[in-house]
Amino acid sequence: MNHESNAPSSPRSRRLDPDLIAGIVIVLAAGALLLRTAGMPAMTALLPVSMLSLLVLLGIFLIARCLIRLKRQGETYVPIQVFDNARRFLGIAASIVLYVVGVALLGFYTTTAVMIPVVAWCFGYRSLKGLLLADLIFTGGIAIIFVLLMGQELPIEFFLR
Amino acid sequence: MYGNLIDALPAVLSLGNIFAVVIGVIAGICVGALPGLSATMAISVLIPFTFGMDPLVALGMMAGIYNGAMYGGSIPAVLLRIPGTPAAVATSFDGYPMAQQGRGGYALQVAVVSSALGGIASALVLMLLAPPLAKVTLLFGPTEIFWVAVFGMSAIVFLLGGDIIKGLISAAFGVFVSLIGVDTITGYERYTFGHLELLDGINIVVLLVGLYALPPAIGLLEEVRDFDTQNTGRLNTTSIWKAIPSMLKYWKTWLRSSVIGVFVGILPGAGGSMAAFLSYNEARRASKNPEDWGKGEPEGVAASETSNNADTAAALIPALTLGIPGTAVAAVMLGGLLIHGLQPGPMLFRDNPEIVFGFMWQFLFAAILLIFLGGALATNSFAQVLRLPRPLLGAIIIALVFIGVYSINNRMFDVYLMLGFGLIGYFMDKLKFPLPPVVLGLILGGFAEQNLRLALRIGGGDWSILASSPTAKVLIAMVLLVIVSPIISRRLRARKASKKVAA
Repeated sequence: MNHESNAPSSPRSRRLDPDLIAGIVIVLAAGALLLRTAGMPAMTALLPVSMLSLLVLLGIFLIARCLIRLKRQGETYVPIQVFDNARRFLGIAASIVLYVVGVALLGFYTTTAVMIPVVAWCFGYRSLKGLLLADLIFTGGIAIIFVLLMGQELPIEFFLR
Repeated sequence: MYGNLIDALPAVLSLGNIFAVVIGVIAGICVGALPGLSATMAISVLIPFTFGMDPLVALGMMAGIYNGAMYGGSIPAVLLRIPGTPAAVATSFDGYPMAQQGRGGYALQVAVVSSALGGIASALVLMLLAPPLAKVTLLFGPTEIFWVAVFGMSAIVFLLGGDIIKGLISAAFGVFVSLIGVDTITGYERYTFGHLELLDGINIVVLLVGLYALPPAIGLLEEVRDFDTQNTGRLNTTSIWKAIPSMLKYWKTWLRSSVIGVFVGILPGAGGSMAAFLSYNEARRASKNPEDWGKGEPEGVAASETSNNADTAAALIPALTLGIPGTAVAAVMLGGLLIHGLQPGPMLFRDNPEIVFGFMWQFLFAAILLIFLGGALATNSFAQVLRLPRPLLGAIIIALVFIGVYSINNRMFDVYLMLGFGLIGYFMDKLKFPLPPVVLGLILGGFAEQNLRLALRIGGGDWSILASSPTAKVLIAMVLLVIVSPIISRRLRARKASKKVAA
C-alpha cells in the first residue's frame, strides 16, 4: 500500500478525493447520455431523461458536498481510501483482462489451466503440489460437467479450430 | 388458498429436488464459512449454471445456499472472530470467547440448531403470509403497480441506512441500465450504440455476476491475509443429538429472535445483520445474567443465529408477492426467477403455483437439513474450509464467473459487459455506494416504466390518474413516509444527543 498517498494530511490525497472524482464522472457520463435523448419519441425519452437528469443533479450534490466538506474540515479531512494496495489491484485487473483475451484467442480450457496456477502463485499461494492438484480437479471437473454432461460449448481451443 | 401448497409437495419430494437442496446447503455453508464470500455472491455465480435445469431444482439450490450461508457465516465468526457474512457479526460476540475456552464445537452446535429453527420459522411465515398477500396484490392495476415499484426503490434507498445521495445514484443507475435496448412500444433503440447484443437489453445475470461475484474474487486476491486457524483443530464436539437437550433452555430466545428476524426480513431494506443485532440486544436485556454476555454466553449465539436465519424466507415475502426484494440476496433470487421465465409478483402465484409453493417447501427443507448437514461431524469438516488458500479460490471464482456469463448466450460480448459492471461494482463498493438499489433499479425500472406508460395511456395522457385510486393514494403516502421517516428520526436523534450534551 502506498501509505504516503493515503496520509490524511497529504495535500495530494485531498485533491484526489474519490467522491469528488465519482461526482465528476457521474455528471459527465450522465450529461453525455442525456444529449442522446434528443431524437427519442417523448414517451420513450420520459424515463431516460428523468433518470439521467436525476444522476446529473445527484452528481452535482456529491461534488458540492465534497467541496464543502473539504473547506470545512481543511487539513483534517480524510477521504475514502479506495485501494488497499493499488499495485496489487492493477495486477489483478491485468490478470483478468489477460485471461479474457487468452480465452478468446487460445480457448477456454488451455487458458484456464494456465491462469489458475499462475494467478494463485503470483498472489501468494506457493504450494506447487496444491496448485497442480487444484488445477487438475477444477479444469478437469469443468470439462466433465460442460463437455460430457451438459454438452455446453465454451470458447474452443486454438489447436482444435 | 393453501391447497396449492399441498399440491406442490410431491414435486418437491422428488430425488432430484431434494438432492439440489442438499447440495445447496453444503455449498452455502462452505461459501458462508469463507470470509469475503456471501450467499449473494454464491447465488450470482450459480444462476447461469441453472439455465438448463428444471426451475424447481435451480430454486432448491438457491434456497439451500441462502440458508446454508447464513449458518456458515457463524463458523469463522466463532473460530476466528471474523464473520463469514455481515449477519454473523453478533455471533462472534459470544461465539469467539467460547472457542477460546475450548467450547467452539458447542458454540457451532448452538449456532446450527438456532439457525435451523430460525429458518423453519421463517419458511412457515412465508407459507402463511405470501398467498393471501399475493391475492390482495392481484387486484392492483398499472397505477398501483407503478407506485409499488417506486415504493420498493424508495424503501431500499432510504431504509438501507448510509448515504442517501449515493443510494439514489445507485438506484437511478440501475433504472437507467434497465432502459437499455429496444423500447417495446415504439421500437426505438435506446443506448444500444449499434450493438445488436444490446437490443434485448442487459441480462440481469450479467449485471448480478459483475456486481456481486467479481469484486469478492478481486478481494480474495487483493488481501494478503493469513488466518490463525488453530481453533479449527480443537472443536471438542460431541454428537449434536446429545447436545440438543442442553439447549432447550433457550426456547424463549429462539421464539423472540424468530419473531424479530421475520419482522426485520419483511421490511424492505433491512437485512440479517440488523435482525441479529436487534435480537442479540433484546436477548441480553431479557437475560438473568447480562454481565456474562460477551464473555462466552451460548444464548448470545442462539439469539443472533436464530434471527439471521429467520430473516431469510421472510425477506422473500415482498419479493415474491410484490416483486420487491427486501435484501440483496432476495434481489439476486428474483434474478434467478426471471431467467427461468418467472416474473415475480402476484401473477407468479396464479401462473406457476407449483413452482412458487415448491420453492417455499424447499426453504423449509433447507432449514431442517441444516441440523443434519451442519451437525457435529459436518461442523468439524466445514471448519476446515477456512484452510482453503484464498489466492487459489480467487482464481477459481474468476474462471467460474467467466463460464457462467459466457454460457448465457455463448458470446464474449456478455463477458466484456460483465467485466465493465464488475469494475463499476468494485469502485461502487469501495466508495460505499450501495449495490442492492442497482439490482432493484434494474428489476423494477423496466417494470415501472411499462406500468407508468400503460396507466397514462388508460388515463388518456392525464397524469392525475397516478393518484386517482384510494390504493394509489395509500401507496403514495407510504412512499412519502419512507422518504421522510429517516430524516425525522435523524433529527430526533440529533435533538436527543444535543439535550444529553446540554445536561
